[in-house]
Amino acid sequence: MKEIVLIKYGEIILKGLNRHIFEDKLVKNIQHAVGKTAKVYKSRATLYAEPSEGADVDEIIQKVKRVFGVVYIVRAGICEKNIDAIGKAAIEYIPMDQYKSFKVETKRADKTFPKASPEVSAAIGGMLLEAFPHLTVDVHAPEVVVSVEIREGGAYVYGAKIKGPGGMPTGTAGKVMLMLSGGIDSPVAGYMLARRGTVMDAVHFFSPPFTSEKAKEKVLDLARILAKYTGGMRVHIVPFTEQQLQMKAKCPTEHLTILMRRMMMRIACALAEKSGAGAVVTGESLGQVASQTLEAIAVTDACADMPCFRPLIGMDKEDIISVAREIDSYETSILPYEDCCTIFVPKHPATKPKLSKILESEALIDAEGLIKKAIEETEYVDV
Amino acid sequence: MIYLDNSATTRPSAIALDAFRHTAESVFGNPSSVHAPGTEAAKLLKAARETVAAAMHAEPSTIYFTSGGTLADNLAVLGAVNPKQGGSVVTTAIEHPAVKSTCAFLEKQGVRVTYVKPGKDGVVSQEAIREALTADTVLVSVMHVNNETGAIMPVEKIKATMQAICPRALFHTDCVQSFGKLPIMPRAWGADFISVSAHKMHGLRGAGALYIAQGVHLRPSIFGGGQEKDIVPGTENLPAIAAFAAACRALGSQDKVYALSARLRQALSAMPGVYINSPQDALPHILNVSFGKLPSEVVTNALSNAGVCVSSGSACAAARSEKSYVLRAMDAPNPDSGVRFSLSDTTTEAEIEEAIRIIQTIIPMLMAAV
Repeated sequence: MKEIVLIKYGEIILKGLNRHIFEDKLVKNIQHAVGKTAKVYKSRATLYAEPSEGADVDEIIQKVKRVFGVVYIVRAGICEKNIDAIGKAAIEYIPMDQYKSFKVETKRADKTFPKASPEVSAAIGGMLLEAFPHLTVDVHAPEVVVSVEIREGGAYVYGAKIKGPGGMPTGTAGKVMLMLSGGIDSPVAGYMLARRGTVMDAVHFFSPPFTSEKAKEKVLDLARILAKYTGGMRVHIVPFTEQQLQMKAKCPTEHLTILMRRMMMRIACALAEKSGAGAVVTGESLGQVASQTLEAIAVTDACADMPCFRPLIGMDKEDIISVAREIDSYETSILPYEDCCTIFVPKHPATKPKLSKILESEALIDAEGLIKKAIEETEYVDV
Repeated sequence: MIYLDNSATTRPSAIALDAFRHTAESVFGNPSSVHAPGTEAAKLLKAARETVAAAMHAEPSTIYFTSGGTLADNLAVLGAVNPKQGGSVVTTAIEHPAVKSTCAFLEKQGVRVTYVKPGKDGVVSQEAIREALTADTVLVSVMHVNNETGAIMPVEKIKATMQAICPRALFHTDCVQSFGKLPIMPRAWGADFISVSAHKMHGLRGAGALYIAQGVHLRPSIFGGGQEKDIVPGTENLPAIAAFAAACRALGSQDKVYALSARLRQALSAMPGVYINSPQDALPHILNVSFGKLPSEVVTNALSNAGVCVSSGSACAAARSEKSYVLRAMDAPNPDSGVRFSLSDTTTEAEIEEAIRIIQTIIPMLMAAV
């Protein structure tokens, strides 16, 4: 049977006069995601991906599932516009033996079709009951809704809907700079912002020989995973060894973590500015580690000259892990190429730092010079 | 680049590569086939078996080609112990994961396993093994040379120790690190099983061997088309096996390594804060060193950036970023700082001198910085 993929979007309908901009962007993003395997177009409030000859529909659906703005996806069989053909299609195409109860919903876009929607539903329901005697009809809470759409070109028949990622089409919400560490949290933070339609660059700090080439490769792998959702990403790699060694040599041990965070934040802001990003994104979650207490975040934010988004701030580790699993970054994040930054982590970091004290510590090093040097030595990789 | 990670893998020799290529190109038949190319392949397999057997001082009929050391270890340990029949296993706390994890798997099946600790010198003594043996011991597995420290175990004395307490128990020794460097003496040792691997001696990955003493029954663990007398079924990896045989034929004197290793040991010992984890009488090919409390990875990263390739502990463990259980078991002072330099008969004096120079330049700076 010929098949077609129907894609529904939600939130962007709310966008008033800008609506067509969002819709066009979504069509473009889906077309980009599926490439030559399908032709994507819009009709009324539904998008269609029409599989090319010989294309693998499962693969198309996998790709559409990663496009932000897609609320749900259905895989429909196309048949002739008569009750017998529609009934046969429903029986053959939808795996009804998996369900116990159902109902049929019909939409008649082609008003020339001789039967009204409720009549079609009743007829198809009857045929399904006959073919699958174990089924019962439940109009209030059916396990599956069998949908029939009667259109100009034919009748579409489909069962369960596949959930899309939701959010807003990538490229409709500006650009951000993600601080990407290689842990579990930061890719999830990037995903959350990407889901709101941002494009992004990432910044990664690496400290050879305290961090390894393999750790850097792992970060690039994470960026590649995120790039599947964001449609590409530039990763800025900032060498950060000398900066850390200087701080360790000159500043009070308990302030090292927060001083490092402040320097990273300033470098991230500067790189964001340079690459046209309007905000920095981090994977911090309140209270998770010493640098993520309210006080520590306040001291870090004090040096940021643009908004810093922390989409995970109120999430528990378990919640974060479950998103990481969903977006496929978890397995890579837990690879063990830990940075050896532990050398620079004090045993008893200040968890309630005072800005005035931190500024005193910061004055012991040439922060401006170190930041300038780091930015000059930054390289980038496009993934 | 100065390659001092030969215990992880060695550079394949030209003669091994030639044999590999020639076999892959020209002797591509399946040794089990009856036609001419198959017959030719079978002949080559037979010749390779004879060569490897000779290098191991064994009869060809006792050599079973495997994919490498890990498969050989697994087949021996799993095949010698039947959890349903009870019995216990005695092994050491410093075995390669190929033995250690297989023993852990047996433990889950209800088999009692005793992991005998080494002394401070990294050597598991004959006495310590004897104390662990019981009448129900069915398998003793003790490696010949430890892969992290180079410590040499008294494998020649173990079978005799077993005679008095568990005469029917079988004796396995993992000789992956020693083959080609020390004599392998299956009969003199009374070994029932010996594991070796080609890529640690300038052969290629994908070939190794398990020696099974004549008359010893090994329960098969994997099943297939009958190759290697049903112990290692699966079409033989003839190109890698031919390369393995070529590497065995090319085995040369290891004398030079003793002098180079001594020089490296002397130069590193002279540096402040350095502790040598390898015992004095270790296999010279392996020198395990702690540079103060510098984490292993920091040293390996720094040396790698300077073109000196070494491992922290074992390469297998490094990939998982596990701390060294070997150094821990021998109560080494800084077990998280162990760095393994591993030499080969192809290592040159110039390389060792250059490595020493680089180490003496980089390491003191790092030690001062952290």
